[in-house]
Amino acid sequence: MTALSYIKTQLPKERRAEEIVFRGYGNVACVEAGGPEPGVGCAGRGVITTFELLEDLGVSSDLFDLTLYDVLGDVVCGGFAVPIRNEYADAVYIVTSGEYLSLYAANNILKGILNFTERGPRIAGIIHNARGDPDEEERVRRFAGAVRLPVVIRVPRSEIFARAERTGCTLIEGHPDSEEAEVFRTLAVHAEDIMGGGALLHHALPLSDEDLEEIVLQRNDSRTIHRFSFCQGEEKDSRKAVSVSVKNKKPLIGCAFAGAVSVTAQVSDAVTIMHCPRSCTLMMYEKLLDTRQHSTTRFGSSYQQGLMERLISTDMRDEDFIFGGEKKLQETLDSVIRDGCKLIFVVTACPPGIIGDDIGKVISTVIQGNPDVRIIPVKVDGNLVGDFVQGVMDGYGAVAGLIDDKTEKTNSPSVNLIAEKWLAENEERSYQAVRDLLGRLGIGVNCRFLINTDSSSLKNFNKAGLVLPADKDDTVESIREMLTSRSSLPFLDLPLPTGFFETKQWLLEVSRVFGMEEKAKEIIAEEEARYQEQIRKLRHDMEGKTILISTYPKSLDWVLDIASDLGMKILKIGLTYSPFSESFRSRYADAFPIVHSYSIEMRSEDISELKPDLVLYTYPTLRRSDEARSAHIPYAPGFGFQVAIERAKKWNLLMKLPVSEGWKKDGEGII
Amino acid sequence: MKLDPDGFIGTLLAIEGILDARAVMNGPTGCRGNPAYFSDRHFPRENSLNRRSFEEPFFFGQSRIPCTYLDSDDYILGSAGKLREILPLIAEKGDSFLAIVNSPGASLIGDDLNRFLVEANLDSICMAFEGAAYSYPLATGFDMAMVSILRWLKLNKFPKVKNRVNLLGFSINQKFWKGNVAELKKLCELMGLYVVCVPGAGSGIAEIRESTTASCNIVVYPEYSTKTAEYLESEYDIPAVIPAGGAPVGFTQTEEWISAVADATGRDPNPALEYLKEQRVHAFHQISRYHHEAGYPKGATFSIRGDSSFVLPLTRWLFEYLSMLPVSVEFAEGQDPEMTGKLTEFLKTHEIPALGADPSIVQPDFYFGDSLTGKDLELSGKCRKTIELYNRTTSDIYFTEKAYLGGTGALWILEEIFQTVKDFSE
Repeated sequence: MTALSYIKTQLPKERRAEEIVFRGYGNVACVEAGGPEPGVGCAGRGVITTFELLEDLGVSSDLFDLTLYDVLGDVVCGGFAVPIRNEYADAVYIVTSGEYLSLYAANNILKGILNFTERGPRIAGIIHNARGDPDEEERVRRFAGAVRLPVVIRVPRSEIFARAERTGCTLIEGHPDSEEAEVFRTLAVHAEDIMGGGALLHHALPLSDEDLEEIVLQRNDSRTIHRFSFCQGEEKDSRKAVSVSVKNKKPLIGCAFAGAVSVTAQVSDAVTIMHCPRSCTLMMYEKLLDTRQHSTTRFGSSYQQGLMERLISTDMRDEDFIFGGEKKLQETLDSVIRDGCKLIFVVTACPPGIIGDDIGKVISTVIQGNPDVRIIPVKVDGNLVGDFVQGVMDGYGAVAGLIDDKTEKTNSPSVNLIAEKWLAENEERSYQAVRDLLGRLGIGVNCRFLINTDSSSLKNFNKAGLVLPADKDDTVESIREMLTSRSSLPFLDLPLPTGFFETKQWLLEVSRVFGMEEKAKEIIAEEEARYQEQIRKLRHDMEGKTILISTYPKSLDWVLDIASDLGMKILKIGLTYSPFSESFRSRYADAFPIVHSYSIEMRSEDISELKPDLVLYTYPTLRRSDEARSAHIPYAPGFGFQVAIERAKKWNLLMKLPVSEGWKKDGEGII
Repeated sequence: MKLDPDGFIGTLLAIEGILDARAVMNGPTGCRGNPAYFSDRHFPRENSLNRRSFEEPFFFGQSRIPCTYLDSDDYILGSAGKLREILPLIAEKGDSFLAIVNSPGASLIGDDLNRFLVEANLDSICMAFEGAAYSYPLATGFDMAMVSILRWLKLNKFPKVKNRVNLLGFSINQKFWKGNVAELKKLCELMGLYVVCVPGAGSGIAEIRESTTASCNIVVYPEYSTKTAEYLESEYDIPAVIPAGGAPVGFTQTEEWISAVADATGRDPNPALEYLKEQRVHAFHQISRYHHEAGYPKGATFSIRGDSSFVLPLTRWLFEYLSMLPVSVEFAEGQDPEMTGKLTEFLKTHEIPALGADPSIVQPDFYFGDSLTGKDLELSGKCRKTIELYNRTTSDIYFTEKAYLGGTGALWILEEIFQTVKDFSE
């Protein structure tokens, strides 16, 4: 039983050292690490896990006179380097033949050891494992000389090793009097000398690749490098929606896995399989269930049941990291299909991406036996492709594949909504407001791309006459771009509207597309009377009051519209950094000072100097020392004629309250 | 789908549950958001109004569990650069103990975390978890992490002091963990026992170091502490007592718990039992005044999903004390076989087919378990009231200290039940 096959079958609390440590010849305690099937999983992680397991089970070097780690010949990743870490290896022998690539690997090991040099020299020397090639002795000698290491022993090429293997014994055990056995005794004496301090240890002095070639191969040519030229049209189309953080190489906030699952979970008749450890799953449940539950409890939306049954985790464990998670994924797919699901998304987290699980192969296998099932991979690999926003874009891209590009437009006027903000708890209420407005014009909603939408609605995306974007930001632009291959529907150039001015413009534009301007004008006239009446009442209190705005870049024209209508004065707009957007657009761009890279400190200074009556902010809240009344600008303020005025009523109320709540003074000594 | 957090979260919470410790995540921001917010929410140690901005590296606006915000380059090239940058910044925070924990993805890189700790001169206060019990039960991850921490701290072997005990198995994941600890400390005090340490639930490093002076470990939740108890017994000769009826949930079970602890420590249980008796009498007068012909909550149904050492006593108590009927009983992963065996037997004896039943099908009056599942049942019209047993990032907010354990806990559970049944009794 190897250590890794043991952890595969045994729960952590039930593991025992006796199950993996065996007594070998000469009272040697032997442990075999084992590893995954070739081509799957992560053997490097396997090495790490084996060492952790031995430690957990109390199998430490202190129990033995000498501990030997037999390690693979190349330090290809951190996992394979574990045995040469300081806490494990006091001395390192490098085994190499005289072939160039073997010496190249030996040189790599020296590079690896160079990373672990805090304790001084640790190389015991080179063990020349001869292949019997001509000149190899000389090549090893030149290499050893260049890296200043001794060749401790030369193990000859001999059939005796195969014979010992065939009889299942060690060389010393099976052929104690052989010449080869003597070579190993020499090595044992050398190791003993090192332990007793009688032999020298050496520094790792690896060669550059060029020097290695020159010294080992005795080749020193500087040939011209010719770059490969692609013919026009031969390059792969690399256009892909890319998030702000990915584009600008900024820290990734959130992960693409979460973004993609947030999108695919909106397809109400599909199951999303999350190929990930449990902790990723829980994060998604909290995010999505919380939103749905709060949407109901706080905003009275009807509760959308069934999410828990539609999000399934493969619960990858350390064993799956090592041995590969494909089997688990296939089992999960089989189980979901047995339950009757016909549409499945598979979204990948970091571990399957890093270990290289072949998701496509698993899906092909499953589909062969279930041709009526559609399985769509979303290979975002945790945050390997980017941040949350990137995952959202990739998720949209995957779902867009469900749109039937051959469907024709119907005669009854209808629209599609795109890029509504499903993480906003008030989104369903906001959607109702839009639907009501459209309903007053006699226009229906054909498809919501993408909130709580079924696959048939997505398939019929092209039955609508117009696409209404919820926002005017990078995400919308990306969706528009990715939809071009599935749909040629026109997009309205205005986002869903907040406040009177925006709603008026928006309604006129929508009605123009469907030839309903007269009806729209009637609605506007009706709403304008209500709006003006409210403005008149509020203006008395709010006219002349000053506002400082601190926000990440997003459209705030609805705020500026209402402030203008109420006769309030905007002192300044400070734009903070946001991982979610990078451009600020406004019809009022030249009307007030706009400061970029606006920090919390700058805001505090402005509050102190400008003394605004009200500070409006998106994030973060004011500091305790900031002496100003403040109000939050919601992430999704809602849509329609009267939304902004309702918000202004709250500002008016807030400006009558104390500058700061009393409890904020009590924050010291929190523990 | 069961919404049990896993051993990775258990590892983080074992560290974050230590008063003056801080977990540092070597991983992407996505893995860190929830546990960071959770820790700050349920074990606050810093002024929440001292906000940071998104731009601040490693913390990104949240005070707990700073992270190295790994990206795809780091997975290939290693996280050395960011680790070298973060460690001095974290050191400035002045914590007594730090632990770097690899996220699932980071565990595959194979960076030698200890090397960076030595380089940053932090190896005396900071340990490294290069892996965690990913996808294993939270309790398993917690227990294993606690053993690793104790081993790393190299606790001294002190002479045992009579009447000093440790309480094992508490975690900040458990609802009202602070109130529960306070209640059991009070019961112990009434028996003349001094609680030295509650590792992973509020005690600081100094108290953990002092824990080896205890003459007995009281295992409150074996799921979270069997390995810890074994370690302290084998390395420091501190025997463990595991009360047979599980955690002290409900009056009768608390009486049994008090007696078990008194037996193991040779103390007089009577002062604690007297204290409990007063609470029983108080409960009687409240219940008897509400109780009427319809008899509620007698016959009210409940589902429960939780740690086996909590599920066993609560199920028994609700059944025996209030005559409420369990219609669905499930154990959170990592259950203790002793506890599950006893409860299985109990249900069998009373011919109650509740084990493993799906709460969304049996539709109980009360759901005891995690609040997300509970709220899902409530909003779907499949239960009337959720009583949450675990903390969540978005749990309900309470200002006064509550508990589920001991007499105080029993009264709170009664309060929750009666506030609800008054709205649906006939």
